[in-house]
Amino acid sequence: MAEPVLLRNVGVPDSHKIEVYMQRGGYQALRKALKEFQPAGLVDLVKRSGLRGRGGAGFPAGVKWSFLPKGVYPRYLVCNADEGEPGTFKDRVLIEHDPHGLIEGIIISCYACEVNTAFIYIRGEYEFGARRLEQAVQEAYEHGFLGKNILGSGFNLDLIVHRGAGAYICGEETGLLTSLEGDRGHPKLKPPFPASEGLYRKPTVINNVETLFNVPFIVERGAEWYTSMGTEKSPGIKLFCISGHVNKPGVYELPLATPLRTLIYDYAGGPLEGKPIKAIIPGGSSTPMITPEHLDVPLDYESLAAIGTMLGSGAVIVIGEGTCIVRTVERLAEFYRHESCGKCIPCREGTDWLYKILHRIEHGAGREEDLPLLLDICNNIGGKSFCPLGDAALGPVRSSIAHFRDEYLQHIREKRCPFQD
Amino acid sequence: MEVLVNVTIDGQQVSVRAGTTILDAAKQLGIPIPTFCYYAKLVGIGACRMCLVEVEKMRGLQTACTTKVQEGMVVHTNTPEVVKTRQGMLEFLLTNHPLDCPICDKGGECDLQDQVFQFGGTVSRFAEEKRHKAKARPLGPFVMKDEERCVLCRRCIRFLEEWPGDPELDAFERGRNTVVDTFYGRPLTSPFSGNVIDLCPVGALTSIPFRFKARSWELKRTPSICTLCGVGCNLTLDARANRLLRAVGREHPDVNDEWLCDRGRFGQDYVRSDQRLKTPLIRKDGQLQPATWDEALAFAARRIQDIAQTANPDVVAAVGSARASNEANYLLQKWARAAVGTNNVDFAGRPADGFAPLSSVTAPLRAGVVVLLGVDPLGDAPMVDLWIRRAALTKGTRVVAIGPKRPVVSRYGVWLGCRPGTESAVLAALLHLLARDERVQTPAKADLATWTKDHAPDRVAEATGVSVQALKQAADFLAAKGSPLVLYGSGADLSPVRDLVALLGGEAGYLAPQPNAWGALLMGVAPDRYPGGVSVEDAKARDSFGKRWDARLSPRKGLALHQMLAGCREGLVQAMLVVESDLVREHPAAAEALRTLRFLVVVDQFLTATAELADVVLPSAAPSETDGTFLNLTRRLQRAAQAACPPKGVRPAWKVIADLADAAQGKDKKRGAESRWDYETAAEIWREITRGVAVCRECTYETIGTAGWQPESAVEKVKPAPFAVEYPVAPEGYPLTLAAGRALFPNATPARYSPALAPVLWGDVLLVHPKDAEGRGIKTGDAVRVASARGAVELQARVTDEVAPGCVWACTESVAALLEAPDRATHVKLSRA
Amino acid sequence: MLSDKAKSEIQQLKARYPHPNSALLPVLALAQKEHGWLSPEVLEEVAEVMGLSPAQVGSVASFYTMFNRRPVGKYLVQVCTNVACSLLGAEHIVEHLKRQLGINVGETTPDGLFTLLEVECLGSCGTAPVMQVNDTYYENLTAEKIDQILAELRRR
Ligand SMILES: Cc1cc2nc3c(=O)[nH]c(=O)nc-3n(C[C@H](O)[C@H](O)[C@H](O)COP(=O)(O)O)c2cc1C
Ligand code: SF4
Ligand code: FES
Repeated sequence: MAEPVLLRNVGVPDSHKIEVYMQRGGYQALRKALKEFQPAGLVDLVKRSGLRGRGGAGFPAGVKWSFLPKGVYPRYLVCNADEGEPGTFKDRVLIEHDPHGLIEGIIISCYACEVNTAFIYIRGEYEFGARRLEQAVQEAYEHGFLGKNILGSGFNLDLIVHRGAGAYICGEETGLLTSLEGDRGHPKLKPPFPASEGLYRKPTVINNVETLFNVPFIVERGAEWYTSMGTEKSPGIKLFCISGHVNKPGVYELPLATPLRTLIYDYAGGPLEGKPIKAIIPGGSSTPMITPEHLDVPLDYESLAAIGTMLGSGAVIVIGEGTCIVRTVERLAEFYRHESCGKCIPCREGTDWLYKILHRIEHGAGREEDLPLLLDICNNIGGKSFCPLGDAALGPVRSSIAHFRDEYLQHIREKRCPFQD
Repeated sequence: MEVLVNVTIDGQQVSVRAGTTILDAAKQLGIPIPTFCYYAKLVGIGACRMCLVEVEKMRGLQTACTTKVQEGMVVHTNTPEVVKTRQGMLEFLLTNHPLDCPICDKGGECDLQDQVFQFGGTVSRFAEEKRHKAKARPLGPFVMKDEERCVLCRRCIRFLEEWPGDPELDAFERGRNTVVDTFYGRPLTSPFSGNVIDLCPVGALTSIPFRFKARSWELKRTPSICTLCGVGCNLTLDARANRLLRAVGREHPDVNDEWLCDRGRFGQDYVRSDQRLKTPLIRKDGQLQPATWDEALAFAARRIQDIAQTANPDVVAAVGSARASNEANYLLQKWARAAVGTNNVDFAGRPADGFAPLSSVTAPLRAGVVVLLGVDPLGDAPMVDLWIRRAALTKGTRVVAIGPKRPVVSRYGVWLGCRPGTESAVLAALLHLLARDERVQTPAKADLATWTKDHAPDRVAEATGVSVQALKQAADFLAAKGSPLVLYGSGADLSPVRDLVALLGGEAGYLAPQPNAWGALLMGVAPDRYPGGVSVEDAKARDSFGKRWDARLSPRKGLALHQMLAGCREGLVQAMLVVESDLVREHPAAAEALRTLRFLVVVDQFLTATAELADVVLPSAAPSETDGTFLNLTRRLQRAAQAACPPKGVRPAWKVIADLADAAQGKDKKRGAESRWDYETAAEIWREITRGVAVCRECTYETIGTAGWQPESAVEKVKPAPFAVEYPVAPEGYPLTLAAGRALFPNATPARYSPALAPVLWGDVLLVHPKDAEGRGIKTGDAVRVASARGAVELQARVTDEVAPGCVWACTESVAALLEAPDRATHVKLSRA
Repeated sequence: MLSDKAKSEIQQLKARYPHPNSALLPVLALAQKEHGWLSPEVLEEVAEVMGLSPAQVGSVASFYTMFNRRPVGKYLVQVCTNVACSLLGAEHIVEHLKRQLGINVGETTPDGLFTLLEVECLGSCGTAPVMQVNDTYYENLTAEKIDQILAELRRR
């Protein structure tokens, strides 16, 4: 196993304290960035590294930064620490164990994007993580890494830790912005995109925790180091969260394009109780599930797309034999209808309807025409909802009907859930 | 330079301004795209997804309501995918929409119904139980809410936020559980709440007064105007079986955009009040008793003739009305001048000399600062209030309110609370500051610096109780924003206003509170002016009108209203005809004066306090029951059209006046055209008016149409001049100042007779400042006695800091008897009753 | 209703952001900390200090699951029943809690100590099943572990 990079401080005692962080080489990248780079140079570096957004969509970070309109200030940077996609818990690990790593990433990114006020929007439930971050921010101010004239560079930055209050939609970048503006987390119209009109209608960069966390390493070790891992289109390293029916669930750091099998068997200790794997959700609850025939798929953006699913946030949920797929999908449908903000018709009404039908099938009142109906409802939501939450709700439904149609039919014909005794 | 872009929609090409949405471009081509959340007058949110269309070279479908067209864009609104999407959205909406269309008030004018019919699928695939939410629940006195029918388009929420700035409605909960509500179900209090009823595309918000009165397709719809204030908002009056049932907003960009205030929307039903007069009344044995028209007219005509003949025509007086149409007012003065032979004609609320009409109802949009001089637009002209709010919300316009009562819109600026009579001192202090502010750079500056040197803010503050800080803030707004719009009421002293305009530019205008003050004046309802404004002392004009009307016209100026009332007591005036004017409630000292008359005829819709004193009462139709024209507070000429029939036996005021003249004259058909009184329609009277009044010459009922017509008015160049500053002193024993004005829901005629407004009428309430209440042991709800040198009344106290210390405030109708002159404050004492 | 201390903290929060409205969520959280839940009266007070309408504040408060608009017990027990936890028996955890507390989901024990809720993913799927009691996460739950936790909380 290679030396961990992103997780190098996880498990180190008191790694959340600035002294320990600095002893282990922390804030050196920041010094280097401020001394050796102009902002534009940093944007270019991150572009060359090919670092892609780790929040789910995989958009190249450097390219996003370069969309900021020239000469328009103030600009803001918001670190998306809302981590709400079921199955995902990597950002929490970074925040709790290595808050300074994130802060250093944010400072460098703000310097690159010429931002003087940044926010970390952390989901409200992460009380412990938020306190750690607040503590760490405080320390960073005291050490002159935040505030005025950072390390004598003339660069100023304020960093505000802002807690959410329980809404998955606030992970969606524009929902996050409205929430940060003090409103219901309703997504905003795009265009304008946040890069040109975001927070308070000013140019705004939004990146996931893990994305920003990568930046100091790229500054320290160079773009070539980053591109030497993974594939050409999916370079670098990625955190994978693995949960469900495996022996050693947790967060693992792997180069992109590592086969799924390696993650499950070599890292996560293989299936729980040796039970055969029935299905795998590869990238967070919204990504279409796949079956064990794809165990050798390389975990990178393109390879997963090629088999009709997504890398998403890198959250792998392993589902073992003996689990009712209909029940699992029903539960996910319930999640999406609960989290739909209610602004647009297809998502608000469609997710409710999907859940009601799935619930009926699971409880023995399904009809054969329900399957085409479910798929047609998916078609009426897909690409038509205001924001991608509507699309996110469809992954489990469509993929489960594709792979487990017989199990649905069994529920319908037997008028009961075959897994319930 | 406007940039045009070319787009192709469904194969048709069109050039539109850059920045146009696909929806608007399609509209220009007549291509319908269904929408729910879209509303042209509200900020787009693209939420309902009903308007999705295909755009070549763009991934997925695009919302037509928010996507701006680009050069060369090719749009398809009718592909199978688009058609399926619309069906899908409608199906989604119907999954949880109740199937209660047969008992829904929106039936027939429901966007959802229409769109399902036009774009929906045919079968319902929804087999689940529908969600249940709260059914009919009132949101205040006017709006009924049915949550199950709501499609969450947020139009109602957005309207209240974006126009009146009263964010009282919002979405609660989220996802499928979202409901639109007020905070914990509190009543909606926005003065403009009724607009959400028109805006709601479904039957989620319906009108409480109108509920279950009619199905929309049974309504006869008449474009007309509101006559419950001076704005003349454009509306559509809906009637069924000749009964007026509701008013809805009608678009006019220069007047009310398309909104109505709640007074105008719900107050029109006064016509259906069971207190309407339905037959003429004659006083017999001290009692007013029903009589036939012939009887009443003959009696009234004979008595007036007798009195005029035994004394002289100048003992007869005629009072017109800022509430009555031009046609009625014209005939009234013609009756006085031609049939009786006197120039004793006037009306309550006549704009004083030097008063100017507002340039436009939307003038606040062009102002940097709106200065309210003793007026509260919410009571005086609610739509102007709405435009001030809109200007504040969209343009950052500030408000500087000077006067005894704090207007709601002062939340967008500052209120300089002061006693009436000290406004010019307050303005002097502002001019003092502005003349010394480096941001102000006009030639008038030097003069004003000199003239105002004695009125430094600290001195004025001490004398008026307005804080120096507030004065400075107001001056700061004025200096920073410039171009003030000064709105004033009838008692205003214009000299300092002129100086302010001379110093900063901008404009000033009289906020005429009644629907036709400028019209009555133009029609010659003034003791010294003929129709069109020519002096009665002008021999040529007298000659010309004399010829037209085939009468010898009096060369003497007549009595003004206050002189008439004073003259009553002295016997100078012995008989009076009052048309649609409740003088007793609205004019100081009218009651005593009218009681001393030998003969009083009152024409009105109700047995008003004035009519109760009459010898003959003649019932008249309301503006919605006849045709007529009105000149609003910007002197825009607009038509009120007949939307319903008056109660049987009731005649329009113009007809009553003509009949009265005819009754005196006999049916002499040989007389010249304009000297006859056998008008059959209001339009005939209007044609006669246009022949005599130059500014109206071009206008016919047809050209006025539904949009109205506004004559060009020359802008007067103002020259600064020194003015006198008074610091009024309270006389011994009368420590407080009583100010009177108008409320949004006034107990003035005719609003006081509206059944829908009954629960919200202002009533006999007196506002008292906590400081003044405390020493007198007065609490909110207490009965209190207010006494001036003229008399005393009992009112109910409301202790509030909405009124300046040292002042008490009530609606004019409650305290007219105490006042010195209409809208002129008076010194009073206050005690618990 | 809000303490003076809370009011001054609110002013600080408002000053912390480029636009004071951004402080609304933290301010609501603060008010909830002080009162346990967001009553209409508290919401009105927040509206007042934030310069917003009560409807706007109430609307925002009702959007987020962490704002309680009903009183809750001293310990708010929230069990994740989303997919990862569910795969590892979250239903049994909920059943066990219901039995031990003698209440249904959504209810509060008569002594006012515990309120039991089911919630969405808590971001702790690697240590499923999980519950959150007030601010603290309890992970890798079993029936025995729950009994210990409840006993401990009751003792406090
Ligand atoms: C419904 C929904 C939920 C999302 N939740 C998260 C989240 O919890 N954390 C996150 O970083 N991104 C989330 N995203 C993705 C963000 O919208 C956004 O793409 C991301 O924060 C950008 O950062 P990145 O480019 O660094 O990935 C979500 C997107 C959607 C549509
Ligand atoms: S009540 Fe009517 S206007 Fe308001 S959101 Fe619902 S459907 Fe739209
Ligand atoms: S009308 Fe376009 S999304 Fe509603």
